[in-house]
Amino acid sequence: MVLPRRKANRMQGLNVPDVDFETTWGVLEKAFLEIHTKNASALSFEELYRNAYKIVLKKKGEELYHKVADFEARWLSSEVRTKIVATITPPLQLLTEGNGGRLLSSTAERRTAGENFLRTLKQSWEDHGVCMGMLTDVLMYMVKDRVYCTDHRQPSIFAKAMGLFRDQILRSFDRPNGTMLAECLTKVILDQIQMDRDGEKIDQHLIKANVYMLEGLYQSDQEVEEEKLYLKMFEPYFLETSAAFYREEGERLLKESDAGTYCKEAKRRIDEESDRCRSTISEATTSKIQRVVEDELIRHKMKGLIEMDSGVQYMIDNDKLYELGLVFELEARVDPRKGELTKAIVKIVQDMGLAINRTAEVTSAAPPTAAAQDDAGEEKQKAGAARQINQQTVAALKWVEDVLALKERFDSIWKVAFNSDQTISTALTRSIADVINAFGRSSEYISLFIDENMKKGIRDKTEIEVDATLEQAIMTLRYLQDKDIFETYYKKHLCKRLLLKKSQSIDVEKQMISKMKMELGNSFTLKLEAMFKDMTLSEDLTGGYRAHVTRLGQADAKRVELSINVLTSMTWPLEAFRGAGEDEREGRSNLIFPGSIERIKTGFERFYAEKYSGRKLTWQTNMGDADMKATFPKSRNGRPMTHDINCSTYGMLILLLFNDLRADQPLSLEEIQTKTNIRESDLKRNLQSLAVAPKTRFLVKEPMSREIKAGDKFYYNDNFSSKIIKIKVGVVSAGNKVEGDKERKETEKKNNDSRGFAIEAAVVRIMKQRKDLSHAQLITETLTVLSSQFKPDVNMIKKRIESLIEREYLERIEDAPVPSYKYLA
Amino acid sequence: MDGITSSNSRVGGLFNGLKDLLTSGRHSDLTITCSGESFKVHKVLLDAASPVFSKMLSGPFREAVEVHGIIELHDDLDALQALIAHIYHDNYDDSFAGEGSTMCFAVRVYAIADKYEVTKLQSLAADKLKSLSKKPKDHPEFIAALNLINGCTNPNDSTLDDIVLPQIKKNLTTLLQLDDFKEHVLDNRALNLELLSMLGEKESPKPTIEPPRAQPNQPSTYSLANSTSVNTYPTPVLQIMSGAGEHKPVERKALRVARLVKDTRLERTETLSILQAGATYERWYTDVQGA
Repeated sequence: MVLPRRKANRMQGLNVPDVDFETTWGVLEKAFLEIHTKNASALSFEELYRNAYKIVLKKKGEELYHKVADFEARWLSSEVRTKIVATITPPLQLLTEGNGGRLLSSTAERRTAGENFLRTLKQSWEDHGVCMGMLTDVLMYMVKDRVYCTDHRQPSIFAKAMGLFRDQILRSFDRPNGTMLAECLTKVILDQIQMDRDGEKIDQHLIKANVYMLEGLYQSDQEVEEEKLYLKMFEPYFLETSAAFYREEGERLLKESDAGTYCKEAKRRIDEESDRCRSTISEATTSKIQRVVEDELIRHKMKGLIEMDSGVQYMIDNDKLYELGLVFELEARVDPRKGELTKAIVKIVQDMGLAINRTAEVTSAAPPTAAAQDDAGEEKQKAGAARQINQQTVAALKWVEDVLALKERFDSIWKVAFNSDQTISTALTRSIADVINAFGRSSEYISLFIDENMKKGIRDKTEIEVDATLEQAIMTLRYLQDKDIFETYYKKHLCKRLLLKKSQSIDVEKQMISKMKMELGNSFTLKLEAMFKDMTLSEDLTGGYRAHVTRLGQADAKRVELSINVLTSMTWPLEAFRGAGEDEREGRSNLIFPGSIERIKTGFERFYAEKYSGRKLTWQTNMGDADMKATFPKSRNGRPMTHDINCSTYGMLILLLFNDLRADQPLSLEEIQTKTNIRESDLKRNLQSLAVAPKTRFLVKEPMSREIKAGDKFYYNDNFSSKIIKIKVGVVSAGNKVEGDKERKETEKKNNDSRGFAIEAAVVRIMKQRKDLSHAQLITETLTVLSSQFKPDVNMIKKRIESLIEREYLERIEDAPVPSYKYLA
Repeated sequence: MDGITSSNSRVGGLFNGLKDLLTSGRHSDLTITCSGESFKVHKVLLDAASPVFSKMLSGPFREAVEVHGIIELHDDLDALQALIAHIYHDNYDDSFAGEGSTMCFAVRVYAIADKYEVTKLQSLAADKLKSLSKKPKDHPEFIAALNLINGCTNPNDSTLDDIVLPQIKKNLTTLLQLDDFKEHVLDNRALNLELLSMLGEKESPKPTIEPPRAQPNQPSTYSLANSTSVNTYPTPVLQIMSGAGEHKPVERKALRVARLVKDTRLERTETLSILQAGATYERWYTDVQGA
């Protein structure tokens, strides 16, 4: 060294003579002891730092590291451990060793002892952290130096010291063959948490501090994130105990309380557990403990909960919407599809729906048995039949209203309690549809419901209410599978409404049609619209004919006016007007019209033939009606009075016969029939209205009885008296009522025929496009094509295919691997 | 920069204001004493500049707890002055070296900056040493600096070694004739090893076998320091070492590997002779390349 002495002097600290490691370490060790006994303020940082620096400079950093570690291990195992072990008093020993610990000591004892233990442990841990912070500061140069020379598997001195706390404290035993302190800690915390769950006050911060310690320590010095002591030594036990606790709690609740209370309790517990994670243990556990509680209180108990006496059925029966909401909320937590609840709801809807269906069947089926046993004369039986039909109509209306009410009820439950959940909505729709389609007469009943509303229901309603009613009808239609059958009924009912002018408002009728168009498509309403078109055309025709007659100049005050409806024959279900058992030919018997009537009849035929050549008119006399003026001499208090009488065409023909007779001249039933050529059954029915019904007794019958029999004589009733000017003669069975069994069979047969055509058409259309196709595919496609109209029976499709093959539209492909067909052009 | 230390410091902004604070000692809340000198300094600046001061002044220890702060440091006074100046001036000022060697001073400043973890000053000092050592006019001064590096800096920190080694290599032949240098290298086995490996590397730009480069900070240095066993080289290697005869590439490789691997157990005298041989070899090798 070529340095002046003076300089060398100033360079103290440089090139220091060899440092004696042991002496220097002695200084440090003494200081560390002071730090641990909280006397740091007496120590000089500079001195300690300098000493550590010197040691490192002399390449003794590694030794220093180990000395420090040894020192800490000694300190922890002697001083700290002793202090902690001292707090494990008998109540805690009982708790940590045996299973009966919770029973053998009082809660208060355990709480105090536990808190004492927790507090000491927390204090030791925090002290350790603070002291190690100070040590690390003093040893900064060593820490820095270790960047150069450590093989990095060795932990930093701070991490090492934390590991020592784990090894020397947590992994030590409270006494030989005793319990590991970490286990004591876990058990004490779990015990305290149990107290908390039982509603006792505990020191949450104290537990949190200890949990914080467990979260800061790792299984090994490598400090792998998944190996935190918290995750290894606490959390699994916590979850396990919690699962056991809630399993029992859930079972107890199911037994002891009602479903509503259970839901509230479960919700409270779940919230409580997440609060606990936040306030007492670690937020990292929140999702796991929730899962545990959900498993125990919900997932495993949902079925039991729903099926309780006070379960979902009860809640629905008693409109317990809030509780239903709770059930929903609970299940939604564990199952996005809400499987159990959905299942339960579907079942309840179906049960209630079945009940509705059964009521309707019972109401409609009960009277005939009663009437069949009653054979006290034809008349009574007939009246019974009429009552039965009426009752059926009522049943039909009730059925639709019940179904609508059912749907509405569940819709509101769905909205309020089930948070408008999509899955449940789908299930509800499906079950309502099931209910509707499980009922054999649904198509007819729905049509009747609309019919009833068109005739009467909408009379006093505002536009909005009417619209709502129509909407309801459409809604039921939406669920209906056999839309073709509905169409048949609707046409029939509509036909009667239009021809008999029963409809309250043609506008509303048209609204309904346009709604159906939107809902079911163009093809569905095509024929219905054609009916309306016929009506409009007929009006024009009637007007045209009147103008034509006026032009001819045959001004005749007595001339009979004609109002006509020309109906396209395929569009209108005219059989609706025929009674049961009458076949078509019989209905078209040629009536004998009196001259005036015959004249305008032929007059109109001529007029029509001029307008539309090549069309054949068939008179549907059974559907006509007539307005007449009739004067009765003693009608108004013995004075003559002229009444406006409205009656059927038949009625008119009968009454006209008496125009040419004196009052005392009778006509027998047979005579009337010969003169008019009205079919006997129709004749009897009309005579009944004219001679039996008290308000329209224009004729007197001899003998006086209800029943019309062969040989009965009829006179003009010159004693007729009524205060009403306009008299309408009721025609028996003109309204739309539920079909009788025979009618129904007929409708079904017709329907099957038309289905057959629809299927054939569909099959041909498909085959024309595809040329050849396997059997299975053809069936599937046919089903798809027809699904908007009805759900065809597969056997029926097969038969139709057979028939098409016979008629050489299709042929079988012989050597195809699967049964297939080929289209023949 | 040096001129503006007037009291009208605001002219020069914050930078000059800080300088002024140091000279005037205004608002000083701490006195640092060292070898009888004292400096009125400001805790905030010390805290900001050095993590060590930061801990010293804010921890629970005496320095932070005592109200009338006087801290006695046991450091190289000249270097400490440079350190304090750096904290206030953000520069490297070797005027504190006085008439002493600037090269040595750079090493001393590096050491103290390392101790107090003032990294910027550390790199400034290293830069200074680098620029000074590139044009050594004075071999004794260089050797003194080498000695200081060996004696007062962290042996695990090779920053300064990396600076001086190329210079040693460059001037190896000259240096080997100086007793001071021999003394130095023989004392510093880590340096020897580094030198040898550098020679080995130079031999072929793309060695077919990459030998583990002996780093001074690898644990092997310990075994070198502790070793007493004598080792003999295989004959061809020794032949090559003495620079005799033609060398096939295979033999050159053998030489390189032998040096690097086995040298960890060299005895003093062997090291020296190898170095000498290496120097000769280096010369020869350069000749061959030139030809």
